[in-house]
Amino acid sequence: MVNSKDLTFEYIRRDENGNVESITKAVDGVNIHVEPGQFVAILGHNGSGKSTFAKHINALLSPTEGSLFIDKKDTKNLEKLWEIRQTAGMVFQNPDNQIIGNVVEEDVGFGPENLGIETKKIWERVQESLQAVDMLNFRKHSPNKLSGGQKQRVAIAGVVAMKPKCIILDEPTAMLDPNGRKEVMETIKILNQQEKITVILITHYMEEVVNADKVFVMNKGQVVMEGTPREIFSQVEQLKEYRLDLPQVTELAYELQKEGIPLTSPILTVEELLSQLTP
Amino acid sequence: MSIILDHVCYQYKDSIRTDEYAIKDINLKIEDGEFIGLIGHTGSGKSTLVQHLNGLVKASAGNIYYNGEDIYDKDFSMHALRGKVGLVFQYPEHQLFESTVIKDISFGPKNLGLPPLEVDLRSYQAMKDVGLSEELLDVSPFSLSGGQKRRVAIAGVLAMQPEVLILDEPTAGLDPKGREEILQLIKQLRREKKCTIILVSHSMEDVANYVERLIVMHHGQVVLDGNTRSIFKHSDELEMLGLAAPQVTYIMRGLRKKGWNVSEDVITVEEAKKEILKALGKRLG
Repeated sequence: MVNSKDLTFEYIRRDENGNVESITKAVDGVNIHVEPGQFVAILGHNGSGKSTFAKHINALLSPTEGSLFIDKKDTKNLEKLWEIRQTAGMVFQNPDNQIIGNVVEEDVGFGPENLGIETKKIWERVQESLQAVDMLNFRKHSPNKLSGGQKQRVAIAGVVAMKPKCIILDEPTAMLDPNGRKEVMETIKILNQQEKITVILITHYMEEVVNADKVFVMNKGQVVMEGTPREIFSQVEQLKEYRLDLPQVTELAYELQKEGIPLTSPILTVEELLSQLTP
Repeated sequence: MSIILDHVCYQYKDSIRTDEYAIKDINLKIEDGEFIGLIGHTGSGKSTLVQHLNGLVKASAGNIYYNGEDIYDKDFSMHALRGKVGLVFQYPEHQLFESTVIKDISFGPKNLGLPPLEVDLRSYQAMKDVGLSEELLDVSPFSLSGGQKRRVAIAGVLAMQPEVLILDEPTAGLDPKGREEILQLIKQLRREKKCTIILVSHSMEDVANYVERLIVMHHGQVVLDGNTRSIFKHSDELEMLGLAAPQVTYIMRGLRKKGWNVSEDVITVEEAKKEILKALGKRLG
């Protein structure tokens, strides 16, 4: 679905005369391979290059070196640009910046309308998408009156309505309260499992990647760790080195292990820890 | 010194339904030097409440007393209040606008009408307090990283030398390390400047690790208020409000259900570790 080969992206800063002042390698030789239908998470601290990489997936940025194929389409190929953007939809951090309609259903219909789809089909898609994110009851509402989690779900519906094969979410829960965060994470799970959409989730919340099929950790523009959540979270010291933390329960289990308590590592959920401590 | 809120209500002026309150009947006493966490889901009235404390929003009903003085009294200087109660907004880095870091930080104290030398001294001190190096003095704030920008914004408020510092979700959007750095900074400021701190947050883990008193809001009202430890005992209630207790609190609850003799009062990983080791020791020994 997503296939990057030695993808490198440089931000070039120039002075008034157009001379190159500095070059920053934001993404440096990244090889990421995502299978159709997978739920993949990308972790990394601020400035690690994860968002820059994500913007390549729907061709908002084009690689300086290397290549990126989305559903076998080269993102450098400008003729395929619209196809790529339709294949890979993007959801950003702040729902308020993504909602443009005065009514929820109009906002969701904006994408498919731009694709030139006939009106009747647009309404069908709006209905389906709002259903998928469990916001159908709010279709006639004004987005202004929704909670953060609800707004973000409307933003997701807007992307779903374009029938993408892949959705990239760049810190979609960063601005939400715990409830909103839960709603959005459940929606993402449903889209992945029921609608079979490939999901690429960029996040700082370690709890959110526990259910991913695969996790990539980025640092200084490079992929430095790669594996299942269990494989990643068993390397506690390395994660700390990359300025990441652990779910509280994983950290507690790790601390207990250091004290000689026999636990199979790593522990990812409260239930796991409870069942190991109280067999 | 203290802030007292007495039956404070706020209704949006354009509200069609007159029964809609952004905050309703708030009664609080905030003592000097307290470290308070203010939590509640989006729309629960947290931000509206803190905007009352420095007079940005005027209550529709009720009174607010700052050190015993009614802030709505016509002789009371709102201007001075804004210098004493510093408010760091959500995503404060969006409000940076000057051409250099130091100019941006100086904006607040300059507006307080202080002499230029005093403005410079305070700005320079604030910059040091938030841990920004001198080399950044004349750099454009827009060329800094997200975490650094946020420090500049916080320094801008600190330079006014507030007695009360309110931070509205100061860690939103930062990575784990950045979050910890900002929280450590806040803790240090409290220790060194002895100012009262009100931290608005969505992160239960953060408030569990740092604040002493927790105020929980729901539908514009204060529903729980007490020391942090005692509030997290109400985990069922918190969940009904769209909030939660820290993960470790649930672990301890689970262990108790299985008959372990562990304290429910646990809110941090360190405490949980101690409790479990103690319980295991008893079981084995």
